Amino acid sequence: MEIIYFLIPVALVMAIGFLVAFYFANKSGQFEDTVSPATRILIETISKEES
Amino acid sequence: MTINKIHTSCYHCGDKCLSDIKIENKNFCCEGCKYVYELLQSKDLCTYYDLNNAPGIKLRALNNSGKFDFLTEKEIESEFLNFQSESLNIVTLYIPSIHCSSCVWILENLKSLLLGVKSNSLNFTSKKLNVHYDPKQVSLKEIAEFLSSIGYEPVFNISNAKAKPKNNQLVFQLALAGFCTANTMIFSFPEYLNLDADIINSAKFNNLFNYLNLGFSIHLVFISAKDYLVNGLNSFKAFLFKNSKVLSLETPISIGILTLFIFSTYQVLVLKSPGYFDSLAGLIFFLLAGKYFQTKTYEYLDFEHEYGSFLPIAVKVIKGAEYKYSNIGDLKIGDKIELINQELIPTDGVLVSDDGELDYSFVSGEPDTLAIKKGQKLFAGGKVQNSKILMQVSTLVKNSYWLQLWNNDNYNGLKENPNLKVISVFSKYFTFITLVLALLTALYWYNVDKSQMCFNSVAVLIVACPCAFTLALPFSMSTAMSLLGSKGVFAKNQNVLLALNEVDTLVFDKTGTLTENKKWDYIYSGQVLNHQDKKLISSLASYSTHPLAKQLQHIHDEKIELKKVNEIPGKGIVAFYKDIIIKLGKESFVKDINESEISGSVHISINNSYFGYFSFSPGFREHWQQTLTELKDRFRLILLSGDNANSQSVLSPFFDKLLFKKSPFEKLEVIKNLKTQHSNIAMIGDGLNDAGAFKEANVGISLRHENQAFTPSCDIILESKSFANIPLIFNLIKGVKSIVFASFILSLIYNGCGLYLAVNGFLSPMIAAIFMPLSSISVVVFSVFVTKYWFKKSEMKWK
Repeated sequence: MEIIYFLIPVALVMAIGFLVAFYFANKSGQFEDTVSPATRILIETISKEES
Repeated sequence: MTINKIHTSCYHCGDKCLSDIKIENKNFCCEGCKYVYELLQSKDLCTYYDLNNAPGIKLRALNNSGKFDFLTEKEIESEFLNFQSESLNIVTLYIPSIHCSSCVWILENLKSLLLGVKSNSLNFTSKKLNVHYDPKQVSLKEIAEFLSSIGYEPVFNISNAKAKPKNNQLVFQLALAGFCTANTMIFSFPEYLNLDADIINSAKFNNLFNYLNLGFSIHLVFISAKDYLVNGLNSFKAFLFKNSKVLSLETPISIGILTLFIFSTYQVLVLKSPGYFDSLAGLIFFLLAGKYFQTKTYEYLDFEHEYGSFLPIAVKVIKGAEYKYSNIGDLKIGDKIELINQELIPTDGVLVSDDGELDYSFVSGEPDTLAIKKGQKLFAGGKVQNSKILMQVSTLVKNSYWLQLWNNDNYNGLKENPNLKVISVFSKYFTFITLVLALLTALYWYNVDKSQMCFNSVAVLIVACPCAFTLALPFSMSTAMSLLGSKGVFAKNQNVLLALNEVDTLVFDKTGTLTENKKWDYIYSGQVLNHQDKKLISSLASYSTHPLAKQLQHIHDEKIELKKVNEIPGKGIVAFYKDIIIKLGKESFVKDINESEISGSVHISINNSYFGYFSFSPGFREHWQQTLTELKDRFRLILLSGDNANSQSVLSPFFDKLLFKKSPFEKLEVIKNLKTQHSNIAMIGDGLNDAGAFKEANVGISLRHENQAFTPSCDIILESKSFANIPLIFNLIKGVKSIVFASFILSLIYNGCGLYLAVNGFLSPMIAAIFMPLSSISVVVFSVFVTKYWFKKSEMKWK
């Protein structure tokens, strides 16, 4: 069971990694506009199909 | 002549087509729409029309030339640029008319429409377009003019030139709380399931888990819940030492959080038992989630407009034969400035050019335009009508009559959040009752069993923590806010909705609020008009640009062509039909005499004989009588108008008090006086002339007319079409308050059960761990769903 002493820190480091990633993503303004990227991706497809 | 009664709708904007403009079976309502279509077609961008049905925006004014000329001045241009270099400029434009996916499509394709635009991206939520362009190939002015020509007119003002820094702290605090809570729950699992009995060495692990939980909790308490602790402590300090009568809701919450944290830490470090970190984590997480919903307001609506948003950015300053665009802040006394049609006068001055016409409705609420003569003093806030004027600046912009309203002492400084009776009363009594209860418990157990004393009094503090109240409030309020938002009622924040509950006096502005802009009722008095006369009048009126004269074109359907049409601004319009001379306008103009004028009337003479006049009064909003009657039963109603007392007889049955001819400053004073009489006031108005009153009133409600980009600073923005819903809005908010109290009682029942179980020793860690989050979740679910149901029930009552 001593393996847990190794597994828990590894799991924590990974989780903290995600937390830090979220911190920077949030700081960069990635979540500020969720409407236009969603529309944008659809629009590109339509224009390609036509041309 | 038969008129085809079936109207076709415009392919571009969806409006009715009255004239016959066609390309390839596609109908257009005007040349403007046709132009945009042709332009898009030539660039092969007609997908615009496939994405949505008639997505275009009708061009309101075709002639925009000169509007963006100020951007040619390098200094002014650079104020708006985010980045500037020789080959690349970056600018963020605010475009209010963005409304659908077609808009996204066309604006994202700007680079194929306009040479020199390198790339661009659109933020739909904030309606902002980011453009990268090559200043050698295209200028900011050209971009602005091009966008206006296809219906997406960018709005330039000082406040959107400076981007506000965004506060992301709460989001991160919430994320951290989520992270810590999830981990704490996992490490508490062995304890829930009583695994330590089965596994050898489990005590070792349990100790490790407890220490880990302690580590998470330190982060939770001192980073995520930091704001609660700091505010709670400050409020408590102020209450004790500074004789402040209010105790914020944060105080009892911080007491709960700290007690839980300290007690659990003691248990882990000294008693080597698990403590209540899972409950603490869940509590902080839910609190922050509630706070997050609370701050989630209408980010794209700006409630704090300064005067800068209303005044032009730059004006044309004439120096001899040359001219230069200058920032309005840089205007000096004695500067000569030229203003074109529809421009706003930025500061007080004297008219230097010949006669002109001004529309002061923006400031005073007076509906009629005003003729101005050479040498006359002009005040800031007037809008130039139909002509170009030249004026000499006599006051600095910041000292102008109009802006003194903002420099007024009352106006400076942020409006404080209203001291909400509900919250302050609650937190004050709640804190003391809890503390006294905990003390009594301690005293009781001191006599009965000293070892149990500490634990039991702490249990009281923990269980009584008013988390349910703090959860129910933001969740039901934010639900109410988003539901109201979908009906065109935008509240600045949740406290405003609560403050609305405490309102007992409603103050109404008249023009633009009770009445509708550009809607007029008119009565004719004079000789009887026959068929032919009406035809002549309506035909002549259709040539006019004057707002009142324009109304008269509807008195007859048929139009005939007139010759030698001549409109004299501020006076009237004259034309010939065969040999008959027709005049329409001011009394002095029509009768050719000098006489005192009665504003708001249009006089007629045909063939040099005076016929009579149409007198105009602003048209009231739909359902206005019904709305006011409903409100009169519940509130004291006061009318506060900048206009004259013309309509007093019509309005007096609905109001307890009527005040006319009030300047913006007097309006502010009136509200101030009312407040000293301990009234809670909601001011309902529309224009800038109400700005001071909005600020002074407990709740300022500003009506936003269609297509209007800005409203003055206020607490609630109400779409003008929602006017008749004001009584309903008050009803709904009242209901939401009851829902919050119901949720609170629900959580009290929960906590009472919890307390009973805890005291009797039935509360095993497993049950406690399920019980605490469950009570939080059920309070949240209850408040959200009951609020939704409450709004749905009243769905039919919206007008």
